[in-house]
Amino acid sequence: MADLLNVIVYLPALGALLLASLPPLEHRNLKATAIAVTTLNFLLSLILWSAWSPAHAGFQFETNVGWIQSFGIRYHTGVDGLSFYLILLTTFLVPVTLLGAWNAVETRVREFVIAILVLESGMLGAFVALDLFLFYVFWEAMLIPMYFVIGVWGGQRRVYAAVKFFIFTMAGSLLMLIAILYVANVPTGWDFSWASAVSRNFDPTLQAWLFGAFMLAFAIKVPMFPVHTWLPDAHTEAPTAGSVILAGVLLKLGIYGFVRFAYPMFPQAAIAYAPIIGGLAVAGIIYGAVAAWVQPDMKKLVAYSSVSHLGFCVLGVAAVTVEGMTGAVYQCLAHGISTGGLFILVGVLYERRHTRLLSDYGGLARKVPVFATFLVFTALASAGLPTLSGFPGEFMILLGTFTAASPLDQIVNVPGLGGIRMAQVLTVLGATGVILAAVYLLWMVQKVLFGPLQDPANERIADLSVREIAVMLPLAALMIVLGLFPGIFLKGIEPSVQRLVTTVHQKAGQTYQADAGAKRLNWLPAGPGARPALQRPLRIDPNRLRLAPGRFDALRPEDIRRPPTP
Amino acid sequence: MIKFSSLAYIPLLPLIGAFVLGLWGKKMERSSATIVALSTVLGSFAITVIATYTMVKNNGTPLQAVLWEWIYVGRYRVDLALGFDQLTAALMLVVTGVGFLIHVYSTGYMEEDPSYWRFFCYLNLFVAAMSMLVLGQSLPVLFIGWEGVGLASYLLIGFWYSDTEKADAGRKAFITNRIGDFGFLIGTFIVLGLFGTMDFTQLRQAVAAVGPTDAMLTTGIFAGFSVKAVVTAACIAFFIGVTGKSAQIPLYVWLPDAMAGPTPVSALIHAATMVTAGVYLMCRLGFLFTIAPDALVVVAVVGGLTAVFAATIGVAQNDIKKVLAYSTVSQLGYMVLAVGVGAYTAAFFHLITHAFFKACLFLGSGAIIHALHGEQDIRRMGGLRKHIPITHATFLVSTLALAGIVPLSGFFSKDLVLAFASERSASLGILGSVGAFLTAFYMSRLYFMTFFGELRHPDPHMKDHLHKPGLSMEIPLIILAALAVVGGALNLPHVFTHTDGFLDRFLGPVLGTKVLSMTATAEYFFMAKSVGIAVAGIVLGYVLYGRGVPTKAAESFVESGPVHGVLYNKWFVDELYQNTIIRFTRFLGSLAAMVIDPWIIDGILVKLSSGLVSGSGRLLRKPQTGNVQSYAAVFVLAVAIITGWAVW
Repeated sequence: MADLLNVIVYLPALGALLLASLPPLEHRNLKATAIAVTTLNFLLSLILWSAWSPAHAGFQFETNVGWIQSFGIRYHTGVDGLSFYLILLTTFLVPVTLLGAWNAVETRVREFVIAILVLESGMLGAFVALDLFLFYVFWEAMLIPMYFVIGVWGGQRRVYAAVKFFIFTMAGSLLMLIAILYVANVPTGWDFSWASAVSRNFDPTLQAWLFGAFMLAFAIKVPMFPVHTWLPDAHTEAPTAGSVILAGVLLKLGIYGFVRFAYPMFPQAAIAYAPIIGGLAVAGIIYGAVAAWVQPDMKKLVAYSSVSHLGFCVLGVAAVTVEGMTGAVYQCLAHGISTGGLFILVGVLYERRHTRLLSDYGGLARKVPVFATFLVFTALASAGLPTLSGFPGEFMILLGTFTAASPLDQIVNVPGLGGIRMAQVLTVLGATGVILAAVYLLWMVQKVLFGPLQDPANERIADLSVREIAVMLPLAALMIVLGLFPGIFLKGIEPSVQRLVTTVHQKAGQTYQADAGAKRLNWLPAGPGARPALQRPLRIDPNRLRLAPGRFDALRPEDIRRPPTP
Repeated sequence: MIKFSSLAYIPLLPLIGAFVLGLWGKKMERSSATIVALSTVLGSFAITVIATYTMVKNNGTPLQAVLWEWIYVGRYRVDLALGFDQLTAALMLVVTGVGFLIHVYSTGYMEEDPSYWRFFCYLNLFVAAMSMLVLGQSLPVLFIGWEGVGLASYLLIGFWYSDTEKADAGRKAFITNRIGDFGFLIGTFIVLGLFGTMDFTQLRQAVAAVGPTDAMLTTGIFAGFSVKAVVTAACIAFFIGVTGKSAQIPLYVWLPDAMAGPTPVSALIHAATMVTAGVYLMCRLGFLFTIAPDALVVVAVVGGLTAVFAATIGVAQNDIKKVLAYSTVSQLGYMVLAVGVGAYTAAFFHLITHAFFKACLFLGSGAIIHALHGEQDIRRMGGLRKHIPITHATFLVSTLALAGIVPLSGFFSKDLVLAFASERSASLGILGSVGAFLTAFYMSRLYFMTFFGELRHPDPHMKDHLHKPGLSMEIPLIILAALAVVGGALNLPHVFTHTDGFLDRFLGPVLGTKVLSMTATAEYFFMAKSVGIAVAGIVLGYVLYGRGVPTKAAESFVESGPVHGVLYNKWFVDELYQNTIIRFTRFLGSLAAMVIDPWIIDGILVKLSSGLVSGSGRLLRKPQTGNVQSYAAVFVLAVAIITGWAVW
C-alpha cells in the first residue's frame, strides 16, 4: 500500500508528462484526459482509504529509502490522521474543479491542464513528505504551477497578483529553508528527517527564531492576518480552477505545516507564543469578516471569508488542545468543500456574465432556481449552520479553546483593562465571527439572488447545466456528510492529534510551566473585596488530555471549597 | 429513561416532506403536494400523541432515542439524542397540533401562489427544525433546531424574495437571531467548562450535586470564581440567545419586520412556536437559572420592560399584522417575566394559551387580508363584521382572550403571571398591569377599526368582491378559537378547584412547583383587579374607536402628535442600531479593505521589501561612478591603509 501512496502522488505528474509528450490533442480531449487521470487518482485514494486504519496514531504506508545520502536526505513518505483526509480532499477536489471549469479556460489548454496536474502532484507530495528537504522540494514545486495558473489564465491584473503571490510565498519559504538547513545541520553531519527533528530539544531562544521562520512561511500560506493581502488579489485574478484549488487545498498546507512541523519541532516556542498566535487568529477572523462584508466583488468577498474561516483553524491550533486541533484539521476539510463550492458557483456566474460585481446581479433566483438553491445551501454550510459542514469544526475549535487547560488559558494584564482571561476572551471574540459569517454570506446571497431583476442582461442568464449540477451535487452531499457524520473523519484525525498534543506538551513541559506561572497575574484590580491573587501555575495534567470514556468529572466535589468564613 | 426510537420520526417525517417537495414539488400536482405536506405533519402529531401516552403510562419516565454519535472529540461526546419528557410533550403537541391546523389553513391561503410547493417545503422544514429544538437532549442538539428554525424563518419571511424589503426582513431576522445564537454558544461553553457535560439529564444531576453555590472553585478554568458567578454568566449568555429568538429587548427588532412573510407563517412561526423557543430554553434550563438569582432579576426586568415597551408601540401601528407582531413581543415579555420570577409553569401556561389565541388572531388577520385582496392597513378596513362573520367571531373571542377577560384562556394564564410577578416585586406587578391595560386598549382599537363602522377601502366596489375565506381557512379558525376559550382549563387556579392545576401537576417533575402565597381572598381580589384593568382598556378603546373610526379625541391624542410620532416610529430603535452598530461595522470593514490592506500592510510589506532591494542597489551603484581617477584614489587609499595596518 505504500506503493499505492507513491503512485497517487506521482500519477498526476505522469499524466502531465504524457500530455506534454503527446502531439497536441483537441481541447475537449485534453480536458477529458486530465479529468480521467485525476478521477482515477481519486479512486486510488479511496482504495487507500479502505486499507487505512484510522485508530492508528502513527504513520502508515511509509516509504523510507536513501536519496541524497551524502547530505542525509532520504526519500521518506507516509501519512497519518493529520494528512490523510487532506490527501483525500485534494484528490477529490481536483477532478471536480477541472469538470467545473470545463469552459473557463479556452487558451493554452494543454499548458493549463499540465499546470493543474503538476500542481496536484506537488500538493500531494507536500502532504506525504516526512523529510524536511523533500517537503521543501514539494512545497516549492507547487508554487510554480500556481504562479503560472494565476499569471497566464488570470483576470486583468493577473501579473500583479501572480507576482505578489510569488513574492509573499517566496519570502516565507526562504526563511523556512534557512531554518530547515539549521535544523538539519546536526553534529554528525546532515540529517533532514522529520523524526529526528521532532525528537530533538532545541534551546528555547533558538526555538523562538526557528519557530518564527517556519511560522512565517506557513502563516503566509494560511494566510494569517496581517500577511494575508496576497490572497484577495490572487483569488480575484485566478481562474475558477485556480481559486478552488488555492482555497480548497493550498491554504490548508499552511495549517498542515503548523501541525506537522512547527508545533512538534518547537513546542516550547509554540506554547510561549500561543497568545500572540491566538490573538492574530482572532484578529484575522474579525478582520476578514468585516472586510468581506464591504467587498463589491464576489470573488474578493469569498477570499476574505477564507481569511476569516482560516482564522478559526489557527485559533484551534494555537490552543494546543485535542478538541481545538482536531477541529482545526476538520475545519480545513469543511472549508475546502464549502469555499470550493462557492468559488465554482461564482465562476459559473462569471462565465455567463463576465462580471464579478455584486451590483451587476440581483433577482436571479427566479431565473436560475437550481443555481440559487446551491448558492444558498453552500453559503449556509460555509456560515456554519449545524448539520452542515461548517459547524462541527468551528464548534470543536471554540470549545477546545474555551473549556480546556491550554497555553491560551492564562491571565494577561492589559493596561487599562486589568487582567484578561485570554482563552475565554479570545473564544468570545472569535465567536463573533459566526455572526459576521451570516452577515456577509447572506449579504452576497441577497445581492445576487433576491430583489427585483433589474439588469436586462440577467434576463437571459442560463441555469446550471447538467455538467455543473454533476459538479455541485457531490460537493453538496459532502457538506451534509461532514455536518451530520463527522465521526467518519474524526475517528481518523483524533488519534494523530492526540499524539501530537501529547508530544507538544510533554516536550514543552518544564519550561512552559515556569513561564506560565510568571505570566499569571492578578485579575481584577486590587481594592476592597478584590479576589485573592491566583497563585496556581498553569497545569497541564496529562490525564486531562487523554481520552476518558464518558467523561463527567470536570466538577468534582473536591474541586469546591467553602468560602473562608469572615 | 425508556428507549423509544420512533421519536426520530417526529422531526424526520416533515424533513422527508420538505425534501420531497423541494426536489419534485415543482412537477407535482397541487393536490399531491398538499398530501405530502399535510400527512407528514399529521404523522408527527400522531407520534407525539403516542409518545405522550407511552410516557404517561410509564409514570412519566422520560423517553429517549439515540440516533448516532455526532461529535465525539477529546473529552467530549455529543450524541444525536432525542428526549421526550413532560415539557417536551406539552410543546410538541402545540407545535405539531397547531402546526397541522396552520398547514390546513395555508392550503387555502396560498392557493393561488405559483410557488405553492416551495411554501410547503419550507413550512415542513420548519416543523422538522422546531421538533429538533424541542426534542434535543443536549445543548448542541437543541442548537440544531435553534438555528434550523432561524433558517426556516429566513426562507419564509423572504418567501416573496423579489421584493427587496421582504428579502431584507428575512436577512435581518436571521442575523439578529445569529447574535442570539452567539450568546447560546457562549453559554454552552461556560456550562461545559463548569460541569463537563452538555446533556440535560447529566447537567441536572451535576447541578443538584453542586451544594453551596457561593463556594469558590479552586481548579479548572473558572478557578477563583464561585459556582454561582459562573452559572450567572452562563444564564446571561443564554438569555442573550433568548432575547434573539423570543424577541426581547434589545434584539426584538426582527420580529415586526418578519411580518413581511405570508400570514400563516406569522401565525405558526412568529406567534405560536418558534418565538417561544427562548421561553422553552429557559424552562429547560430552569434548574440552572434557579441557582443564578441575579440572572433571574435581569430576565424579569427585561421581560417586564419588553411587555410594556412593545405594547406602547402596538398602540400606534396601523398595519394589522404589525399590531399583532408587537402584541406578540409584548406577550413574550410576559412569559419571560414569569420565568424571571421563577414561575416556569406559569410561563409555559401562557405560552400554550398564547399559541392558541395569537395563532387564531394571525390566521384571522390573514383571512381579513385575503378578503381585502392584500390590504393590511386598518384605516382602510371597517365594517367587516357583517361580511366575514366566522372570522369576526373567532377574532373577537381571541381578542378577549388576549385582553384577559374571564373565563377565557388568556385570563387564567396572564393572571397567574401577574400574580407571581407582583408577589416578587410591586414594581414588576405594576409593569405587568400597565402592559395588560395597553394590551386591552390596542386590541380593542384594532378590533373596532377592523370590524365596526363602514368599510373605508379606497376601492368602493371592494365590498362586493370580497374574497370570502373557504372551509380550509375557517375550520382551523374555529378550532383555534375553541381552544382559546377552553385553554384555561389546562391549569385552573387553586382557589377554584382546591387542587393543583393540571399543568402544575403534569410539568411538576420537570419544572418544579411554585404556588402563590397570597390568601384566597387576596387572590380573588387580584383577579378582579386584572379583569378590571382589561375592561378599562376595552372601554377606553370602545369610547375612542367604537364607531370604527377614531373619534376626535382619539385623532388628536392617539393618532397624531409627538407621542404618536415616537411610537409610530418604534422609538427610533431601528435607526439607532442602523446608525451605530451596523454603520460602525461597515466602517471597520471599509477601513480594513480600503485603507489597512492596500496602504498600511501592502505599503509596509511590499513597498518596504521592494524599497530594500532597490535601495541597496542604489547604494552599491554610488561608488561605481566610472571615473578612473576616483577608482585610483580609492585604490591608493586602500593600499596605504592596508600597508599601514600591516607595518604597525
